[in-house]
Amino acid sequence: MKATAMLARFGAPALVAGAAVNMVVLTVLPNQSQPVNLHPGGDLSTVVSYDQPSTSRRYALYALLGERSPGATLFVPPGTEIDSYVAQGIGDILTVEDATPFVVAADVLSGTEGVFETASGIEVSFLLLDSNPGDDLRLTVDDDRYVIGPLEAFEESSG
Amino acid sequence: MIREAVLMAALAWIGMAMTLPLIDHVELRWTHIAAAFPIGAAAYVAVAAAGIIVAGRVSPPATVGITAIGAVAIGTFAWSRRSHQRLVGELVRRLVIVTGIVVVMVAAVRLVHVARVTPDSIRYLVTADTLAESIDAVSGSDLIKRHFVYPALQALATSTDRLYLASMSPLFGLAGGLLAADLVQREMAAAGLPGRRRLALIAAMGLFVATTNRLLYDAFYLNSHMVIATCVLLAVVAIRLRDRAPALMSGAALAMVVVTLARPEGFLLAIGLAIALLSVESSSRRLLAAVTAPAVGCAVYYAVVLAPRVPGTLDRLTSPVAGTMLALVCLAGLGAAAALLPRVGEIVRRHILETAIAGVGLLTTVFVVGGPEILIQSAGATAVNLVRSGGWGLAWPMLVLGLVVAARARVVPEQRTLTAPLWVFAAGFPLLPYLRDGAFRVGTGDSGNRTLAHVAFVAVVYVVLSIGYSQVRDRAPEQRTRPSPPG
Repeated sequence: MKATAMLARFGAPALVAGAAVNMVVLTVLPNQSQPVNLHPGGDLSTVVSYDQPSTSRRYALYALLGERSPGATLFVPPGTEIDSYVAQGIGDILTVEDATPFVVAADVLSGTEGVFETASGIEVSFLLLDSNPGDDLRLTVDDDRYVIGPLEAFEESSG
Repeated sequence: MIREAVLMAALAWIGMAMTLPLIDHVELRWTHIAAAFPIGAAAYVAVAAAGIIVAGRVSPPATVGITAIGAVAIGTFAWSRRSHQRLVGELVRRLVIVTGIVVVMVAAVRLVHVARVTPDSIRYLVTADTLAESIDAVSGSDLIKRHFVYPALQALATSTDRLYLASMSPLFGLAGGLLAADLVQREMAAAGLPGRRRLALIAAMGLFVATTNRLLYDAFYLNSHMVIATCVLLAVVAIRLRDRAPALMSGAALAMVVVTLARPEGFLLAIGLAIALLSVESSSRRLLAAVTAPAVGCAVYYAVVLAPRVPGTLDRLTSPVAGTMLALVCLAGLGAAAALLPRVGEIVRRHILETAIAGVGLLTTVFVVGGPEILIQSAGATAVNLVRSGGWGLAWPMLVLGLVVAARARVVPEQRTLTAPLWVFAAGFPLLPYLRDGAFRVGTGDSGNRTLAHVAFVAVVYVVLSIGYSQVRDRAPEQRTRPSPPG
């Protein structure tokens, strides 16, 4: 059969058939993601964002409510204090791992990037998010790994 | 919400003003409406890039203001050459429609939380925040990996009550869908396909796109993929309509800028789009405006903004910055030569696609010889992603089959305007893992898997147009369209 005849006769039905199969084998909208709502409304996003306007906390919102691959991990350096309500929310969606001892091995490229090695030997490169004056927590992200820790943890060990 | 709606509507109005001569054609109403937002956003990006070069930061209110002033000047000039009374009603109608679409979209994404956020999104948003302060505060790796376009667009959020604009990707996605449907509708009507068959074809295309998970995902994803996919299609539509709607060529030029500055591998798509135009166009003015000017502008951005800030930039020609600068300079020179030297232009028109594919293939071979294992791993991962793990369902297996049959059928007039971006991207795809220094991996989040979305719109449109033109031939052999050159 000539290519034009094949396209003319089977092209459109094939598109519809492909769409039908896609509807069966795929989710129409991907799950694993929770809504990001910056207005008070009682969900986890509100808990994280409400009355916490600092940059790192705001980006913690994205990290906590964003989409993650299975096995995404939150590393918590020693001395980190996370609000229990938020910690419960984090625990539901991320694997939390103690990052003791927390040692930043080296700066990479600039003062905002670095690498640290966890107790279990995992090397995590990270981006250090900026924070506002008076902010006591820093958030870092690296693909599916997140680190939330006190400012001192990053300052004292970074080199 | 009001500020976000006004900002998004302002971008659409800017796009409408820049393409105001389309008001002459009632049949191009939906082309004008569909292209308005992406052209306005692309103009904003181009002005923002100039702002970065000059001032070292993106000031969203100033950038929108300057872009609007330029667009108003262009629109006023175009308006002054037309009969006002006849066109006022049509202009008002289009403005109302485009504003209504934007307002409804902004309201919808605020009521229904469908934004998709990944760690990659976070880094884009961090970069957006930082760009509004100073380019010097952005890390070198983010400057080269995340590039400029999406952070510049999301920097608009600093003028709203939100930390990011959830309506950005959906508006680009909707514009892309409308552009695709409009192009198919118009070409099939001109080819003589009956109305019901046209409607069925467009419905089948819409269903296919809407059920392709990755495309739908990208329409809500805080990332640059839908921006790029829509701009690639916008450029193709503008090139195909260049004689009937010359004003749309500004969209092609701006789309070239956006795809180049949106991601590190964007230059490949820019080359594909430039070749699409070089293959069919002989007008010096258009070639200089839509090939040479964007390439020169982007090369200046690379030289002034990226080269001093990205470590290792100029150590070797194969580094992302130096290599792209070289490619852009060559592209600008090629466009100028084709525009100014008629004999060169003729040779370029005949041989540019094959030459470009051979060149990209040769470059890929150089990299592969140095590390074949990266290609082997990437090919395996991409194959798995295409058929099983990439979130594409049957979309790419069917599209690949459709592309092969369509290329063999060659029924679409000037089909190189559609195939050039596809073939150049396909030839350069094996090169991408080498540019990022790591093999592709299995999974929806792999960047190689995600970049496939950039050409998905054009691939779908090419296959659907091929189906439509084949139906016309099949039904009425006497109405055959003129054969297209091989491509």
